[in-house]
Amino acid sequence: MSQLKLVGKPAQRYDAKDKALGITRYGADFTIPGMLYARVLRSKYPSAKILSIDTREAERLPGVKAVITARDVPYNERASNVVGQTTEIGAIQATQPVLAKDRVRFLGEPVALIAAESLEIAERAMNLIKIDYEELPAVFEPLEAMKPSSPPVHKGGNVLARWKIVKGDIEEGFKQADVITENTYYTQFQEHAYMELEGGVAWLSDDGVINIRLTTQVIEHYRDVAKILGIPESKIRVIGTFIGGGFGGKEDVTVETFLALLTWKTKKPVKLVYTREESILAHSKRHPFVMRYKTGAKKNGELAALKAELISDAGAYAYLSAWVLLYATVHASGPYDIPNVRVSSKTVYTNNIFTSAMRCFGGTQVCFAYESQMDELAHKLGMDPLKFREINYIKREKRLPVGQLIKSEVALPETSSRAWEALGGPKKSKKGKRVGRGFASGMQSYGRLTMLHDSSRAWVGIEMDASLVIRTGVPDLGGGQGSSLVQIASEVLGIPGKDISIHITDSSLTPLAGTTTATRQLYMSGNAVLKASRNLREIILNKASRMFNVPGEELDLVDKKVVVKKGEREMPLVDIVKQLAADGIRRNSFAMFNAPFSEALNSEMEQYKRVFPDFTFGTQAAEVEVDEETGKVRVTRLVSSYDVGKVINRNSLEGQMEGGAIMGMGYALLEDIKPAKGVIQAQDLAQYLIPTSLDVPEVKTVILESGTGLGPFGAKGIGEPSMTPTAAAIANAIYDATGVRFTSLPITPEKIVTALKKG
Amino acid sequence: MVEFDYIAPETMDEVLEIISRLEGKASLLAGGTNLIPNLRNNKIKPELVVDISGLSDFSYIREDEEKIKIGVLTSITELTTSELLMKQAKILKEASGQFANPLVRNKATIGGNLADASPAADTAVPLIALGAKVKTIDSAYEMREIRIEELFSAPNQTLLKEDEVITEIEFPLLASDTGNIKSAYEKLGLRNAMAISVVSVAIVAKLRDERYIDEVKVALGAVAPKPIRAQKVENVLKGETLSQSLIEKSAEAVSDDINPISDIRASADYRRMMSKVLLKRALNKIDRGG
Amino acid sequence: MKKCTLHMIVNGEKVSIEVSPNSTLLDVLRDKLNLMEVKEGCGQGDCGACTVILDGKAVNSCLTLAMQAEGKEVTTLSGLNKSRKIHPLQKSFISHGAIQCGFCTPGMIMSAKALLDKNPHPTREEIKVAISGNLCRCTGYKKIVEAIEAVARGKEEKGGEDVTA
Repeated sequence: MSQLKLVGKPAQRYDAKDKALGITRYGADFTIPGMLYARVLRSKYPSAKILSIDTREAERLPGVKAVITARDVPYNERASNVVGQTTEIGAIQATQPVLAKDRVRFLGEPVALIAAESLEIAERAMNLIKIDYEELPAVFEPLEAMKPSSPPVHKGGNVLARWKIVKGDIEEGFKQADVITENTYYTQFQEHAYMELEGGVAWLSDDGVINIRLTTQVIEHYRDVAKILGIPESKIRVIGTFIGGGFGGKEDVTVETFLALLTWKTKKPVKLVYTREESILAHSKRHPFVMRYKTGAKKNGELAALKAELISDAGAYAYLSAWVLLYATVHASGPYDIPNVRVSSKTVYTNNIFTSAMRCFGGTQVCFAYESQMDELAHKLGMDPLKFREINYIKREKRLPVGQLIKSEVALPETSSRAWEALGGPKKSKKGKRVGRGFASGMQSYGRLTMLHDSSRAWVGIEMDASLVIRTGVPDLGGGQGSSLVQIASEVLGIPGKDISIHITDSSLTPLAGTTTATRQLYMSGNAVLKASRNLREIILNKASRMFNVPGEELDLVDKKVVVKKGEREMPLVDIVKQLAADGIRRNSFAMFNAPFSEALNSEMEQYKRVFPDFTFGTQAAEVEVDEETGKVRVTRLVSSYDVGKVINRNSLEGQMEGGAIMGMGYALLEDIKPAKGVIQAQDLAQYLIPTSLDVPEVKTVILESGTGLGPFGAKGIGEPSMTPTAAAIANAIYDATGVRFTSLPITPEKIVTALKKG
Repeated sequence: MVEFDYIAPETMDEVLEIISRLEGKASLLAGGTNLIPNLRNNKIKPELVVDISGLSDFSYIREDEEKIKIGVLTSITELTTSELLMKQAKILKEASGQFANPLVRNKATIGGNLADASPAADTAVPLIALGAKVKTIDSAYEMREIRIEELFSAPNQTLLKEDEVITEIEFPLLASDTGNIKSAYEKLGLRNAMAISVVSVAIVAKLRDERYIDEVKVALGAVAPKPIRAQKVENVLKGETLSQSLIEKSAEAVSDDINPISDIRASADYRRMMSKVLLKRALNKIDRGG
Repeated sequence: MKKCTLHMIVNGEKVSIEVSPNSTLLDVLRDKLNLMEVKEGCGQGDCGACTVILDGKAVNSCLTLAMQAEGKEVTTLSGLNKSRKIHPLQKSFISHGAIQCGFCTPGMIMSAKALLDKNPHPTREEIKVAISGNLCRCTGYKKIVEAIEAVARGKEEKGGEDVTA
């Protein structure tokens, strides 16, 4: 394709206007006449036996239309560790009850469902359900849970999954090292804290289909719902809404199974929306990790060996813990070329809230560890941290310890020097304040694990008036997923965005495009739309070439016209479309895009070839001002610099980079659910602190385009990578300011003051 | 949300009659920023909510008889924009500016903040230092004055009787920042907005010859079951000349005034340390001229 | 629980409805008046998603009992489009890329509107203070502040295009 006309510009998103006008309808914004209101009764204990459940009184309450417990669920078991994929990988089997039957394993586990004529009645009924519990021993620390003497959360021991990567000879590597640094790093539970609460409505339509309209990152959960109800998958339809933020927290099943069960039982429309407190109890959290790291380097600055042992808290059920751990394991040595590496990891069941997907998916925890290690080594060697890293950054066509070849550009030397430059010169410290600057580099995969055989599909069709329709089952998280697809089709077909309609996120009416997770939609569905659009372009140009009697290469589609490139002739696109119709030639195209496929992994991953499609690389730099006496940190400057391959929508890209860095800042300094014996103490948004407008610096973005990504026009993904190195960059800046290396997140004022006091 | 009936009386007389009749089963609604979450979370279960937010006679900030008088229903926003407070009680204005967030400040009232009796109540701390009192009235039309530091009995509890309401908050004119009177306020929160105080300190001092402390009132928030006056610190300061060593000495004394707990925001130890830090900062501000 | 009758002016129109005494203004705006742009993010004043303008002041509608709006004027986001024109703030949020998931947007714009009504030329810092009760998890706030500032500086043209355009 010649010069790009639209791609790369800060295009106005097609969804922005409705959102600005308040017209967009989210999960909670739909009502259906005659609908019932649902509530979920949840366990009050982190570990207990259910001796009995008595729902009789609740059922007798006027206005109550259904009470559902485990024994009413046709198939009360679901696999939580596979999300929206079709490939059987089998590696780890883990199931859980939809509703707890005789045992609860975390505080907040669903036990019963109620549907009633009003929310008030449903709430009253909830209080009338009597459950006899017998508390059981519980375990809350993964290190403790690994001991054979600990109470088992599930049959078969508490270690859910383990992975191992070995490259070279680790002992020999450390012998060659002149300096060695060793530390243990700890990270906390992080809450997604999207603004929109989980919710939706369900109804039964005349054709016997259960329709569920909700806010979700994964419409493919219709398959789980069908299995639980024991009805064909074709009888469940999931319609996604625009999502008010997800960040991985709306990747697992949320309200869809509950809505379907209640609609199936009552045959009536049902609405279920969580409260904020319930949302915090009901959905996953980011995994806390304990990470023991040892890294060695030679005097000349070359890294010699890296050893990492990772343990993560899986919480009470498997969900995506095994895969998050796999990501962490593969990313554990960072974007560095290290001859000798050994990474071993375990994820462990506890009676804490379950942990699962969250932006970076295991990538930011290990980045905090390895970038702290790199910073420490540079200081030990007396080298400039920038220079030290430059010596060791992995290069294109080199292999990661897991064996995967890096096929795209690794622009880290540029992203780092540009980030550092953009941070500006050191600021003078005011009295009582210590100013410090630091940076961190990160790598983060985009696209799902290649063993999942991921694919996306899109349909693109031109109407008789030359306007365009796109259909693809992409859930739009708010990152502009749908909008970028419009831009891509517009670029290829020369049809202005205002004449394009896109239909997304409907499991029955839009071709399945896979999950909006894993930084995969621009890459996967972008390519599917690109492929479909190019096919359609070819159909149009073939016809035009005969009509003009010039070769197709000499034709272009511009502004709803076919033009001969030399510029002497043009024809309205409408005329070509009419001719196609008259000749009985299709005016649409359906395309499927497949990611690279690989075999299922074993837990010993030596010499594995490919785990991910590709990686995004970038650097963040931070300047902090630490109050010596209170320990309060103010991030005064934050720079985010990435090689994004190719910019598609500049506004959306900057939005991801700014928002990702601020979420990383919250992770570094503020956010923690603080569980105490399985009870989340930060139970609402007054206690769980995310940054406000008065807490944030204005993030500066530096964007590089190597054009080497696997996405459309060479784009890479940015959703998750935009947050990966923030915590590490801030921790390194705090080290620069205070001389103290903080090894646990969040770095609270209290931790800082305590450390400074020790001197 | 619990169920209750609602009434919006037009006069204070009606309010008093109703709450007397309901004998503790009524809750007063002013700004609602504490009451409504408490109703939503089933923390209180009144039979009747008595909406007093429409009693516009009780929203004012004025100077009268050598005193500053603030109506019980004056919103926090009004405290932040008052010219009179800027001159006469800068620390109350400052504390109000750091109160929750602008949306809450538009609704929350000074009386509501006091009646909620949070150990971290943002307006109570400067008001104690300003020597403020609340004026109350009960259904028998008995009026009394209670010093702010004596108003609270325990976390979220006041000495007010079931049929008694606060009508006004008052403190002496020239309480601060005029001539030889200096004041300072310091708050530490974990965020810069929507932050419940980890520790807060307010000081009003009457100085002679620039540094000699004639009179002083020191108050702290979030370091005891209620906002407190720091008597031990005051004793150290009073009748002495302000100096770095005196500031250090008073900071040592603050440990005897406070009794902090550990909670989700901070440990008791950290609160002890920060009480000293914030006290020193406030005293240094006063040393530099308030 | 005795039902109450509530009279108020919502987006310029007189409304008279029966409400439960324990309904919040947020409940009534959404469930009775179908003003779905007023969002619930926390239900207790911790997030600002439900911000409306009540007699000139931006407030959390979840922290307001419906009956407290008796005789008052309420403006929600859609009230800015009564003339069928896009409000300059809405236009600016769109053009600055200040909208991602869009869930905080209605509340954020109402806070900004209340600020500009009182203080047409705020500083950047004043803008940040004005929206400090409105949480956003997507943007990092930068583009939101820029969008509001552009309106304050008169950089956004005043007369917006038709909302249906």
